[in-house]
Amino acid sequence: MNRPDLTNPTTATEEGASGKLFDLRVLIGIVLGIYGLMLFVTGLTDTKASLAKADGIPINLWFGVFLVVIAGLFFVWRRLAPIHHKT
Amino acid sequence: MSTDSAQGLLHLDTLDYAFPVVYFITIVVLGFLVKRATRTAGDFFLAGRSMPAWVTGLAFISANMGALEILGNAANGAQYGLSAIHFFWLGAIPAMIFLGVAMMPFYYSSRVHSVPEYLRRRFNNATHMLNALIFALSQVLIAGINLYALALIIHLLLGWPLAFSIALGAAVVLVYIVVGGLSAAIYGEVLQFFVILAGLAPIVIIGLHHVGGWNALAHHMPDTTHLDTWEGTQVGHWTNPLGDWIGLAMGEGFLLAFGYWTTNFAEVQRALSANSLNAARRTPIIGALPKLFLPLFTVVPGMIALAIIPHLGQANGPSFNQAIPSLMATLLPNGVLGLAVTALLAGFMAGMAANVSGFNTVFTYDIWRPYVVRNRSDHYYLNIGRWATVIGIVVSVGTAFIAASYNNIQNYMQMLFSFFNTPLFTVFLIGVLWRRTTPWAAFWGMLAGSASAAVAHFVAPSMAWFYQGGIMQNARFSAQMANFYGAIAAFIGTAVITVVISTFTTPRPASELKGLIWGLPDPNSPDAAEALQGTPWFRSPVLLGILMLIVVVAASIAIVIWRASL
Repeated sequence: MNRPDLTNPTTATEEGASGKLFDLRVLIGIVLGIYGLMLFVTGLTDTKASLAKADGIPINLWFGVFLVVIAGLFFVWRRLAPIHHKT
Repeated sequence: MSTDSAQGLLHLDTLDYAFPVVYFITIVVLGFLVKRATRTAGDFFLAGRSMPAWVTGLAFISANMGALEILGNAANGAQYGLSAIHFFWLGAIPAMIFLGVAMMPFYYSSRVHSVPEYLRRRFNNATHMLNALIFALSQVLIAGINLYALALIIHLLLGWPLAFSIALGAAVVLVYIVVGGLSAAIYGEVLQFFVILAGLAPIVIIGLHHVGGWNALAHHMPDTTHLDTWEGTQVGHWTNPLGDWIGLAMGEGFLLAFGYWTTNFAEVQRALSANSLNAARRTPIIGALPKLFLPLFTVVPGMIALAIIPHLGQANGPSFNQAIPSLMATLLPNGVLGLAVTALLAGFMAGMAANVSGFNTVFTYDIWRPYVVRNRSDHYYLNIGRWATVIGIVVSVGTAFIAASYNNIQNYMQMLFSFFNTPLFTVFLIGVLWRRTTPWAAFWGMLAGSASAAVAHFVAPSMAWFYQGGIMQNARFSAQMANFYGAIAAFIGTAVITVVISTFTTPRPASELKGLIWGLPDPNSPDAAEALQGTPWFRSPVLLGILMLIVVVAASIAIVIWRASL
């Protein structure tokens, strides 16, 4: 995942007065994406005991994938509807 | 509370701790990012009125999703069953739609920065100061309770000392609100919204799988009243855990909810930061959509906990408040467990950030500037706002320890709200609708309403009306129903006194009330031009509000039908 530079908010929002603030969708996408990857990697190494605890559902694996997909949707949304200056 | 062992209920590994660490780092970085855009007091207190509607809408909901609300609604789900949904569908959504459709123009277009300031413009300084002081005090108290709730969760789950947890939570909120102001609070709340849902979802998924699905969950309930929503609400011989339909519809649905959602500044402030009148009006209506689904993440886990946690809510088992933590300990493997702990921590920060950012605005604009130090530079008040944040958080660390000395703080606080919110809402409503309402009528009406609620509260335990089936035993008394009727008493008391005093005191001239009351628009309003522009249907607050009402009524009917089919 190509992570935008968090220390420089102007890279997140290119144009407009509201671009004073960075785009919140990027931040949400990054956090959910990181969490998704963390869960997915955990899910790959889940022990029998932790699988049994969750009723046999590989929840870390599937929920990790789910969160990465949601994170991706935030980036798609930002691509489709970039912040524009309110006239 | 009884858990004194250093060992918590949950066993987190290093990976689990990484989830809250990522979260805390993000939220502090967020504060510093937002700081670059915070140059004036308007940026700090009102986020420069620059937020899009989806951001303010989610923040609007998050501000009310503190750890207290999450654990409390799960506790309600376990204790009362399905009727706890009323607090969302009957108690919140109609009020939020009303705020967006009817009330928001008066707040947003008059360019007031707070609810107390609206009272000053519509009525007088005495009413303004009374409300500002009550609000500031209540926000610091609630922030303290939130802080205590967080520390209690950390202590219970992880075994950390209470004092350390309180200090840690306060420090994180302090940094990002002092640095970033309301923008940071709002951005943080939107992020929290998604983290909370992500953290709670695995509990619901595994929990439902564990009990064997929806119908199996229903059959696990101890008795059928746990599946009642509107069933058993006959006046005079009610059996529903929340009492009869008059109390439900009038007390909870109308007065308590409308009072809370339309006049609680910590909520209204989110909408005031929106980038246009239309966005401000859509803020609570957009927030209503997630509110529709929140019972799935709170009430339902409560019911699941009742089904699978042995002795929940009994003398020899965990309390109802521990419904969600118990499920986490039983069902979640490491990984999603860390995410769920993060969700609870995030929930606490959402609640506390809302209290603190509401407090610093009212303290600076409604107490300090008009009554203590007047006519100073914008920069001066921005700094006062930062200091108010620091002081508010330090004081709430103190009130957290007060909260720690109470057993059932949540019921107590809810009762206090019915004392203050309902009179304020009633005065607001009469003042908006009736031009003749006078300033002093508002002041005395609010005091009279609080007194009426207090009387009702002390009389209720000696009336058979408030006991299940009319049998006067302690266990059959419905404290919730007494709160609902207390709100009705407050409404009547406020309305009568306000109207009576208005008839023989002097109202303000109509020229001073433009844009503040119904039927008297301000032709110079900065939003007048916006009103002339056409809005596409999917941005019309009225249409969206009606759609939302239809959805919530349909959902309520679907629950009753499902209940009948079991």
